[in-house]
Amino acid sequence: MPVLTWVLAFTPTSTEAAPGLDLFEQNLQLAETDADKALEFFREIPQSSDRFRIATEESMKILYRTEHWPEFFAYAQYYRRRWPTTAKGEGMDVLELLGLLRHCQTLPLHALLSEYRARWPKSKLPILDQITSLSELHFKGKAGDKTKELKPFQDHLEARVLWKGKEEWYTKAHPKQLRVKVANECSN
Amino acid sequence: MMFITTLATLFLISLEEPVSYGDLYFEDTKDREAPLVHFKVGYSQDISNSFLDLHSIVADAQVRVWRYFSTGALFQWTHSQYSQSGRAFRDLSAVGLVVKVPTQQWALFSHTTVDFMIGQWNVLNMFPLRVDLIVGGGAGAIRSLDDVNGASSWKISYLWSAEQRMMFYKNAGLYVQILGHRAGTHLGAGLHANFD
Repeated sequence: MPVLTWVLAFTPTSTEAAPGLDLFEQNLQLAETDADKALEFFREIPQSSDRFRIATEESMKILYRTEHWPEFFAYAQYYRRRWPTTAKGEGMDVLELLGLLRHCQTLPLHALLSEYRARWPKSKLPILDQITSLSELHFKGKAGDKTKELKPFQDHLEARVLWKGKEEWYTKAHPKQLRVKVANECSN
Repeated sequence: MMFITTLATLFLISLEEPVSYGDLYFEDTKDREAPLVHFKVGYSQDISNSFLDLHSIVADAQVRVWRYFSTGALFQWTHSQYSQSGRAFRDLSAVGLVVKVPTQQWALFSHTTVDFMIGQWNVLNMFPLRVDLIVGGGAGAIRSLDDVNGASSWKISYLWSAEQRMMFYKNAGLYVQILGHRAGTHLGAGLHANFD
């Protein structure tokens, strides 16, 4: 499937950290074999760092792959606000679309598709057409695993506190501190 | 269905704001520690003296010295009056028995506390509730009276305290405290505020 090929194209391919690389590059390589460790590293990169954008992108890939949806959607919306000029049809935008597709979130998905259709070059439009087609399908089993959804009670038990957020926090807070609860509208 | 979706899409685009979806939450990952500066003022009543009603105003100022440890000063001003049994006791003077009930006028203590964190909750997404248990101790001086309107003298004393602090607003809330020293044991409540 072309869309999946597209997604796989921007996942890291190395399986082990090579000596001689700095810590950041080692974690880039570790992302596939030890996603939790790599994610922990990328999450701690400060917003002022030159590598923050790469760290954010790598975090998004890991969160998508491991299906940590509340964090993934927080990163995705943060990313779109922080770097809005991705007019070339970058992979992170597609990843967000696929995430919404997997949650059958038709309304925001179509809003983003319309926006990207107006801004992206023609060569990238087939991707949007494919996602549009997929979004119109209704098939069973699309809902997937719901075990990694936001669990406020579990967060409380683990001494993590979640406050109801405001839109402005997308531009103020570090994305590692944000969670977005998105309902899965797909039928099992 | 498609028509409604298209209309909704056009509406969202026309706002010219980034497309937003889902319920946003902020995870508070700040390390828990005692507040940098803490003030409180409240009312307390003696619970150990049968012959006197002791009503006090307590004020406390604390500065964090290390993580959960704070130190500062606690001031207590007390208004003393005989209780019903105290008055009955005093009436014994009519039969020649002179009764004096020692009391306190005011007291000043050094006060060092340890902040045991209990928890923090987001109640119905409406207000934050943080509850802390604070245990403290210190030493100081009590200006004591040998009777309600009697002669005054100084008394050196220890101080102990246990406090339950609740934060209903960002940096302020209510507290309930029990504190004790050589002149009595007091149960009180009041307002407190943190400055970080």
